Amino acid sequence: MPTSMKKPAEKASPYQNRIELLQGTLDMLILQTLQWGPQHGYGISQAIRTRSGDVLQVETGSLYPALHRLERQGWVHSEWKLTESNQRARYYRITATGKKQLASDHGRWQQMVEAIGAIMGIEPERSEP
Amino acid sequence: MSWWQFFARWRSDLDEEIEAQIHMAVRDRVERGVPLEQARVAVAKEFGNVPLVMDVTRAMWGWEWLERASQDLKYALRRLIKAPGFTIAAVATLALGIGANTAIFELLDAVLLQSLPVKNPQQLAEVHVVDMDKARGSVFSGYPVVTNLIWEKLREDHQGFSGIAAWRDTQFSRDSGGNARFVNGLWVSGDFFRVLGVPPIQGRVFTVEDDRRGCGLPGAVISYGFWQQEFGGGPALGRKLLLNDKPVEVIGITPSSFFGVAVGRSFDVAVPVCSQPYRETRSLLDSSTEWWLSLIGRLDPGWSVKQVAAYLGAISPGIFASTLRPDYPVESVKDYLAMKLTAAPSAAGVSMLRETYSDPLKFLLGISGFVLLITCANLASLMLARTSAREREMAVRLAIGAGRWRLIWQVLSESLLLSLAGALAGAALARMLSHGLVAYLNTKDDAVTLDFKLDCRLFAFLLAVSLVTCVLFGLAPALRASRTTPGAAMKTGGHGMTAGRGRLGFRGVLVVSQVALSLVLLFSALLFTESLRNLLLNDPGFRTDGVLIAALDFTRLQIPVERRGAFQRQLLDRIRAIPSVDAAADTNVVPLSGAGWGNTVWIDGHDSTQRHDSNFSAVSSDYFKTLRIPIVAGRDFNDRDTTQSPRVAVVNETFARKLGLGANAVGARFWREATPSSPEELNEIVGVVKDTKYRHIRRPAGAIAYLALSQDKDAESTMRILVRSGLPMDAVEQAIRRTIREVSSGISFDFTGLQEQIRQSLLAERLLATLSGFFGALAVVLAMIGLYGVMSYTVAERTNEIGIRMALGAGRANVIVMILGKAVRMLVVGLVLGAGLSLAAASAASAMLFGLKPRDPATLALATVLLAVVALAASYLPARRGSKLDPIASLREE
Repeated sequence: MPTSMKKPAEKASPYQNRIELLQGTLDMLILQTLQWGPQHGYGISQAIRTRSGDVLQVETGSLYPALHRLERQGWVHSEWKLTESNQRARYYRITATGKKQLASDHGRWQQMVEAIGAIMGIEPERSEP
Repeated sequence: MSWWQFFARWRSDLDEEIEAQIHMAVRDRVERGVPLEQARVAVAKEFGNVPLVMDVTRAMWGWEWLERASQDLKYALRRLIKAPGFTIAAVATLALGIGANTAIFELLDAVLLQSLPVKNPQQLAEVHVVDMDKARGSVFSGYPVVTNLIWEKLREDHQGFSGIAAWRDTQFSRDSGGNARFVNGLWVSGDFFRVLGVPPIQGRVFTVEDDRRGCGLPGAVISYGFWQQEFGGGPALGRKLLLNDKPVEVIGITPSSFFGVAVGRSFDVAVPVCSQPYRETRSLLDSSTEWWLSLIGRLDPGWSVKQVAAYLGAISPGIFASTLRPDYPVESVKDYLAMKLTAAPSAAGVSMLRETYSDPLKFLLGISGFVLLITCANLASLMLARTSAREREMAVRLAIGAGRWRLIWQVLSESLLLSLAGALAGAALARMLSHGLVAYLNTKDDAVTLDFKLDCRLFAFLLAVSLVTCVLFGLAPALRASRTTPGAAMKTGGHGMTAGRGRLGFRGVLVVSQVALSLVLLFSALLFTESLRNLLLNDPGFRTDGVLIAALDFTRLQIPVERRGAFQRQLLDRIRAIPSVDAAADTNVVPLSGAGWGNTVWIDGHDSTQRHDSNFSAVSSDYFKTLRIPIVAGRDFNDRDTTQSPRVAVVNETFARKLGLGANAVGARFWREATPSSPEELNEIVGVVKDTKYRHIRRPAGAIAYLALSQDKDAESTMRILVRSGLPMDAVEQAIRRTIREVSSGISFDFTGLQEQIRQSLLAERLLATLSGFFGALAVVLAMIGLYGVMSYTVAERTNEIGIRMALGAGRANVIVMILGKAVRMLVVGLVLGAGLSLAAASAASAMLFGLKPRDPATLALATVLLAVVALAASYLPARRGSKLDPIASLREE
């Protein structure tokens, strides 16, 4: 291969990188949100936003790949329904395996927070999810 | 399909889902008091690149490869549609290459390779006499045959065979006077269907019980095809059929896959051997000189064909000793007793077609293989030219960030689409061609039915060949292009001054090999065409034009043998009396029909050991006049030659020479050997005629002795009347029909032109000439396309150079010469190579040629000149276009 060749840029997306960062955590947040009942994509992002006090804003570019990934894993199930304003939307519902997954994610997250907290020298505080 | 629908629905689902979200987000904002336009902009900003989001989301399902593939295929399809010239050329090239090869192979397969459609065909073996030439009497078939007596012995003792069966194909008349109508019949022994393992689909097949001497007319088993044709597939069992005027009941139907034992000829009705005496005028069952039954047996497990053959050899003396009957000519008894039976494998059945067409078909397969090579070369140069032209485009795509493999896959998808389209068109073409081929082989009297199978393996092979060619020659330049620095490609991608010469090197090789191969095909096409022309123009010694053959059968009138001669003469006189008939004669052997009759002869007074072979023909008076055979000396037969008068003969010049009679043959007397039906006979020569060909136009004229039909005591109830007339055949035919009907409505008749019959006897030759001509023309066209393509490419590439040359003062002629020079170089190399190849290939064809040498220099020269002219014409067009370039414009193009 000639050295002068310009390596063709891979199709890289900034969104993908952020998914990597949030991976697992975003999944957990979505599953947790769905614990309270079936919701469509927009509803999920709004819920996460309000519950986090506008700190966490889930971008569409992360949300949909995550939702479809969860569906492929079989952790959520989706179906088309009408919203209160008569808008057709796809509603996501957590499945039994999804609930199991959420439990284990939750446990792992807890451990992680405790471990990081110990290193950072801050007393762990029980925070309501 | 449903899978694809699912995929499509899933795609639109995602679109709708995201749209819904955008909608809700906008509405939320509007409800919060943001103006609609602003809300929209804000949401769009928040969402970012929606198609990208969708792409990434879809990627979550791991399906993006499918989407990309479909995108690339769509793109490739669009590109192909945009370049119809290239696409049509490539697909047509592929279709012709694949179609021709498949069709020829299917025919070859059906005729030569397929096994019989019966149970375990590899266990089948046929039994035949080793030295059949010595057999005396009537031989009913070109297939190996034995007498009924020999068959009955083998039926009793068939050690080594678990079962053995006898069969003979025949024709049964289905008319009751008037136009002759026949069905393909089969005499079969009782065990025939059981030995072959063919079960009935309705009713029953024969058993050993059905085939006993004195059985009468015990019913018929019909084929699936006949069932459909005659009864429309409706109820047939118990229905009566009239065969040779005898009613017979349908007792069973065979499966559609079973056509009989003879490849290429299907049967309609099978009846037991034992019913022969009840269906025909003369019994063949107790004669040792009627050779009519073919034998096929199923080997016992544990016995090889060799062992069976050895066993048959061992029991032969006993069989022949016990089957000798007094009707056998005394002087040949010794030969008869020394005959031996043997066995040979018969899994593929027996086939006259195979013997006739084996060599031509193999040769044609070779030719079509050459066509495939040319096809590949053509395709390769097309693909090369196309991909090379895309180098610049690919460089641009690379520069703006396209993936290398993505680009390569795009080229590949184009190749795939082309190959598939070509293969499909090829398959359709193969269907048409193979049906055309069978229609070609079919003649009125000789219906050929072949079981064609689209051979999937062959088709896959051809598809693979085309795919590999496309991919290889599309991919190689694509790889190179994708590897070049975009910058470099951009620089040279235009009409460079020097670029591209190296690349033509390979395309040049392709053109050279195309020219060489085309020359071989053109040469063989010319050889076969010339050979056929020689055969058709060959002078058989008589005038074939304007002669109609009327075959009459008055068996139904049941005229006693002693009155048949008179009836025949009366009928002939009626026909001669028709105004449009110039001359008419009866004969028992129609010349060049393939039929023949031979006996040994010797001069009266000479030692009877000084024997010569001669052909015979029993004819009426006016035979020589009808066929325009000149009488050299003596006289024609006349009314005074009767059964009471001394036996007379007319001989041809070769006969006189062979027997050493010289100029004074008239008056000499010769003996004809004893035959099963007559003792030795003395004949006086009353006339000498010019030589004519006898059985087949390919064979040189031999000795012929003509006997007078009017002196034949055993006149038959059939006639073959040759009629010469200046009127069109149809008109004469009508007149003869009317005349015969006036005599009796019980006479059935059938008409053929003598020339038509000769043409039909040259079927193999015509097939070879037509198909090789077709392939030769195809090869030339492909070579033209190839050369034209390469030269156009050269001109396009050298536009700048040409511009500069012209600016510096080169004239149009100089430019044409410069460009043609290149074409001529390729052409000369190709022609020299091709001539060498042709000479090597021609020797394989020598046996199939008539009247010319396989290495005929004139034909080779003609082929070379023809190809050279065509090729130069093809390269002159681009050269002329080059010379018409405007120097200024071509320089500005940079």
